[in-house]
Amino acid sequence: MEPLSFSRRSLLAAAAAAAVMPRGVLGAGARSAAKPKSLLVVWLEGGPSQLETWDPHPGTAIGGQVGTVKTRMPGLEIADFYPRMAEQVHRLSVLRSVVSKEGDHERGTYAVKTGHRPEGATIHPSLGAIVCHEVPVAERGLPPHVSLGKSQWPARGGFLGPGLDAFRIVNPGTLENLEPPAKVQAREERRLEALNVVEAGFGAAPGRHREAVDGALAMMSSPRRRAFVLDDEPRAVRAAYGDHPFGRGCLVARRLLEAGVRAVEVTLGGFDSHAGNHEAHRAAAQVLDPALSTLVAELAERDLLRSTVVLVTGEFGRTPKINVAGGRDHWPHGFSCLLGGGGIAGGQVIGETDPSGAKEAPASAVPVEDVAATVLAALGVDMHLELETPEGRPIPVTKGTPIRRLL
Amino acid sequence: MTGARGLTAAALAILVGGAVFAAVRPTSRAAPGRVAVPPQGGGAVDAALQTHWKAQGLTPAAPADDLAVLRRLTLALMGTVPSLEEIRRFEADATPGRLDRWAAALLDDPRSHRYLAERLARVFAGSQAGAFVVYRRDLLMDWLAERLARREPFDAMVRELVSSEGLWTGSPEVNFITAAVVDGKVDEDQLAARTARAFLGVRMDCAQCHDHPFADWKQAQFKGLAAFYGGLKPSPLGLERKPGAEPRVPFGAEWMPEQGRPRERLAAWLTDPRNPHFARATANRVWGLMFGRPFVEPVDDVPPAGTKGAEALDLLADDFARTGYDWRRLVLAVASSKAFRASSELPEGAPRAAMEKAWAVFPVTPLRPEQLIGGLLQAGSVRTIDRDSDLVTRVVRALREKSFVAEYGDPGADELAERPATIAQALLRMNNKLPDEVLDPNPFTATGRIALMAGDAPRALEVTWLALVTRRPTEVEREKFLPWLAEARGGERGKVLGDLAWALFNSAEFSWNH
Repeated sequence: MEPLSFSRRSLLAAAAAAAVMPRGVLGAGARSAAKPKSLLVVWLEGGPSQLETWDPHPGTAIGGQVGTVKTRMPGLEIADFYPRMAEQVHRLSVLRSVVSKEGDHERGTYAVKTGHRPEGATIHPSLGAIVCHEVPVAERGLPPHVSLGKSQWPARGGFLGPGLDAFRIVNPGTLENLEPPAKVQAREERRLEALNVVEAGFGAAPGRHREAVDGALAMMSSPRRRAFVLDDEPRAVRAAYGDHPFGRGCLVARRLLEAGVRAVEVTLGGFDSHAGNHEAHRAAAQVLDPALSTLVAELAERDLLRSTVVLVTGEFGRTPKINVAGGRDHWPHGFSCLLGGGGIAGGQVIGETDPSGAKEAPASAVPVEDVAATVLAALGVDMHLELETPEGRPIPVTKGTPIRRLL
Repeated sequence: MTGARGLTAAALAILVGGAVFAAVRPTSRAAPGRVAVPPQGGGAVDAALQTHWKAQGLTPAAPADDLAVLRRLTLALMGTVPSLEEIRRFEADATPGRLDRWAAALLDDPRSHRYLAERLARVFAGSQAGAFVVYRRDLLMDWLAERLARREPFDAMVRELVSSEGLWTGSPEVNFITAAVVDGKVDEDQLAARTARAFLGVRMDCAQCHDHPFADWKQAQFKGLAAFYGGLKPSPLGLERKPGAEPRVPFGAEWMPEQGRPRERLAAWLTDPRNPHFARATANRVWGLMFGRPFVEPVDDVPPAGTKGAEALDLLADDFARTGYDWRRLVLAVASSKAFRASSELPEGAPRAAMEKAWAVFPVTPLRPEQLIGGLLQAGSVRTIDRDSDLVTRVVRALREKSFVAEYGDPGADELAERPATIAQALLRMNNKLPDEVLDPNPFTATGRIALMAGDAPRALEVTWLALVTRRPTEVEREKFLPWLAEARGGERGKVLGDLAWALFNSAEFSWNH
């Protein structure tokens, strides 16, 4: 048996020798047209109100106190909480009639993130996991699927396996578990030496354990991991995104996409406004507007928007009716999301909700399955593909139909 | 703090130093030796296994060391590694049959009731938070733990769950039903799928959308089963029911009573002694909980009696049904089998896959997240963490466990399906600050106390190894690490121990069941 040897130094040397950094983590450089596409999901956790974001109805009984702002898209107005998005939203399309059957946070999240209803014991993979599975990333050193920021239900690999779960960085801008805690870094060599001795004596040792540890060490010593930290970003850029976890998350997301990560999810919470809806959404917008608008602008400037499908959504929207606590409750019957990039048409507005709030169903309803199908189609996934569960049960990759107008 | 809670420094020194432990044990936790061990079906199970090994031309692995079996038992029934305290107590018992007595004592420990209740709750109700207000998972857990503590027959427990009526707060078993509430209504398909998987060992939910690809389950049969749960709605008065489609069992209609509410009839049918699936499904699951891998995979798609190679499962299931569905007896029968007591190391040149499949060697499986974290937290403390421990320790443990399980990847309801080891998990083990907080020396961690009190270097090394990997260091390990300790001065000694504990925690030996 080959003797075990864990060492960061040797791996560092190996990584350097094999260093393929065509795009690098710094500077965009020219990209070939054949660049495989990536997915960026900006997840607004809690269920953002369509009325206080991309589908305001000011001056109506349901409109609340929010005003509107004109965008660069003729005829499109969005909530005036979003002056900076008004300058960028034309790069994406606005879906104003998304419908889901799930009004519970966990189930709603599942439905939007996977494009399937939760059912039985089969856990469907998230869209990010599917694209990582179908279009694997060749380079080592970075996880293919990443979730940035605090998230209650981060994207999962489901039946495709936990290896495709989104790799979590709860505090974006830091390396978190990609490096040892600061106070023990000096002791790492001794630790790895001890580990080698202990492992060599364990007769029943499964190879899979060593592979995982080797993979971890490779990631810890890869120069590509610098994509997770922001030291070399100009102060002005960092300021534009905003000095808070979500702003940093959006900036890290851009760096990860540049570095070739296949699927990135950035999460912002604070939208579950059962009470004080207006204030909650104003507070969230103060974080979301600068970060998201800067991200979209930078993706466009760096020519990443062509190769990145961008989906901005939450698990559902909020009731047209404002409750006695000045809040809005869960509403999966006609909510909004932004979708574009990666070949998906921008500048479109799809669907319409009833300004009086009387009609539950929106015009030209788009089921969440169809949003998922559109994302997958844009990413080049075959719509008729069947994925296989570990028990050999075939599961259609999507039950939805891509939105023709957007592709 | 009472005298029973806190060990005096002197007692702790004795514990770490390894004197006969019985002398310092202040409380009266279930004492091995007092517990009656029920007669085992073990002889017949072992005979069946041996016949199978012979037919396959396999030489079984040698028996495992007692401490290795102690580790397996504690992981399976408590979700932790044995504490140093427990190891000392176990080793102080030199009379034959100590593993049987120990297993029986573990099953009487409240920690095991809580731990196994969580395992069962996942099977019966999933791991999701579920509907707000009408689903109270915590109450269901308490109810299950209480039923296990008072040794309620398993069939009676399942009948109560399936036929439960009332409010989810006053009658916690109702949460079996309300776990499936979606948008204010009970999702009967979810309950039918769960019922088939958990109590019959069949995956009928494939037939929810289409006929089962491998077995003889049809969509109509699934709908018939679901109809037992049809038209249910939680209301302020409890569960309301509107009559709907005609309920129908997929087979064995003659076992079902004519009279009663639909769910009462279903509960009686599921647990009728003539229904072989109930006992087989339970036996396969208990085997899975004990070994980390069910006798036949997947855990909830169990082949019929008489399947070649599964004779041991037949025997366990028969014994379970014949003796009044005594879950405790079933666990003990599995724990006393030759398969459970076998080493995980292969005899020279034997093929691992074939040996594991035939249960001729103890299978090497990854610990589930809650076992890994439980083991870590226990290893970081020389004392047993349980209800006797002080409140702060317990609260800290509960909080750490929850977030670590989430980050390590919660396997959900399907926790006996084997999952690959991932890079993210390795990174979490190596670099997350929790292991370092738990393992690095300070006056409250095991390594700190060991450094302070364990006396000479060989003793400190031995105690560290026992606390982490439930064995003593090998000759090679002693030769390598004793000089490290000998050369370390002052606070450095604790750091060396911390680094060794880190290495043990990151080894396959710690994070796999073996």
